[in-house]
Amino acid sequence: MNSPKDPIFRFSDLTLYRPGREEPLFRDLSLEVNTGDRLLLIGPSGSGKTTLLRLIMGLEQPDVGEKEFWIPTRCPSAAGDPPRQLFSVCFQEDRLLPGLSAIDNVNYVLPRAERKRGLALTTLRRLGLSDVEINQPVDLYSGGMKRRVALARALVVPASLYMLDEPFSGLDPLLRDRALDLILETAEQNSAALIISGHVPDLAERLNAQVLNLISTN
Amino acid sequence: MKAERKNLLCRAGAILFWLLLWQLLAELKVFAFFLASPVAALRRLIELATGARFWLTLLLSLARVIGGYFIGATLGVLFALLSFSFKAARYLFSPLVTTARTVPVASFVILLLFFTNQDSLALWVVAIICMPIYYQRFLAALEAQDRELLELNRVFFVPAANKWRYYYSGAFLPALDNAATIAVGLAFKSGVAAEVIALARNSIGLNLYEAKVYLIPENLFAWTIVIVVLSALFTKTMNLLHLLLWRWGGRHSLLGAAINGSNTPTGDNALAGSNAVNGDNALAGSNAVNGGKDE
Repeated sequence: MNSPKDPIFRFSDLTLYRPGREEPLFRDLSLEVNTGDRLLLIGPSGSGKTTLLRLIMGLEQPDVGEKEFWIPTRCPSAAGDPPRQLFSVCFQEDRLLPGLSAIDNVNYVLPRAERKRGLALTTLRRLGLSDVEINQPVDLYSGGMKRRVALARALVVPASLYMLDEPFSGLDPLLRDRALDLILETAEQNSAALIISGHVPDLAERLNAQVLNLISTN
Repeated sequence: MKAERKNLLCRAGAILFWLLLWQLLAELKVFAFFLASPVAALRRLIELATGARFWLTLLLSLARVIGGYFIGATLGVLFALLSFSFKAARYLFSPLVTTARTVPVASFVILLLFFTNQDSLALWVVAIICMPIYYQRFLAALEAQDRELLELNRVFFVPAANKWRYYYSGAFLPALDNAATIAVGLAFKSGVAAEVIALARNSIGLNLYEAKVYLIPENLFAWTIVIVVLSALFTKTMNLLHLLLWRWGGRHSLLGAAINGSNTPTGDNALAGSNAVNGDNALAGSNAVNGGKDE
């Protein structure tokens, strides 16, 4: 665990039911995440890893329980820097804008002034995409290439919490290592917490992370 | 490339065939003198184009049709936005749109003549004809939006300028282009029909009416050519404008290729969006959380 340990958010006794199901997906879930925390979500398919991330993002609401956030969703930074967000996300799906190039897809989430810094280009290059590929429409990309663009888009945004839902799917071990290095570097630079979901061997050791194991009761 | 050239030649050949047949029927006076030959029509058109009145007529008719088109398009988009946002608005506009789609142009013309003058009548008729086309296409595009991308916009606080340039252009331009292609043609047809019935001063419609009254088929064909050319030019202008906006939005594909996908509310994107929201986890059933340190 890294310091300092300012609190980011806390869930208290959350319960979430899914439509048409008697048993809740989560029952009395409590979770606290502080700056510098590393959390690895594992569990079988359908155990609620993505839903937990969506709860944090506010895209889903619990039926019972409290959510507290200590950091504003978005706050201004020092002059010249882009506004800092509470969280940045790599969704389980790539969610790229069709027809646009990789560089446009990454720049899409950045303010105009920030795009000039070339952070998108640097990040995409570091994830192993060539300059020719970066300017091609993402529709021509393979699954692994699209995944790297989605990951780059999450990492260019300054945030206090990075939530990466299966960020390494479709990546070979070499690219996965490069991606992991960049993720850790970004989290370090921003003094941010990191929540990653997915099954990757040795990931908990590499991240020095707490593991949250979600178990399906079905 | 070779196939394209062959296609172009075939199309030109077909047009030439019909022009020659038209010329032949006119020469043989099959329809007495009511059928002016294409050569005579073109000659008459050139004669007309030398007079200032021709250009004034053209300008005023164009103003009525294009003005009405933009009023109709704006209302259609506005009503669609309201219908998308409020259920009550959808119920409210539904009979209005159905009426505008189904009631004959002539009925609107007669009705509107009670409320407006003969010169501005075509403007309102065109607006009524164009509104439902834009309403339906734009509403379908609004409903077909990719929910995953909408969530992305929300989570990343995507700047408004970026959304306009990259998101809205991709989500709505194909539908707007499709609407324009259909609406412009109908705008010219209904606009001129309204001018004929209303006998609008300095209008193409009045010239068509006079061609009938004074039995001048050359004038009828010359003005018809004008209408067809204006309609085609304005359609292409709108298509080009949409294409430029499409390119400005960072897309290099053809705009036409995107139209089919975007106009179907049950298209790929819409399905993908709903799967994302009600996907794996909805099917997962109940689960319990077992949080524990496992380093």
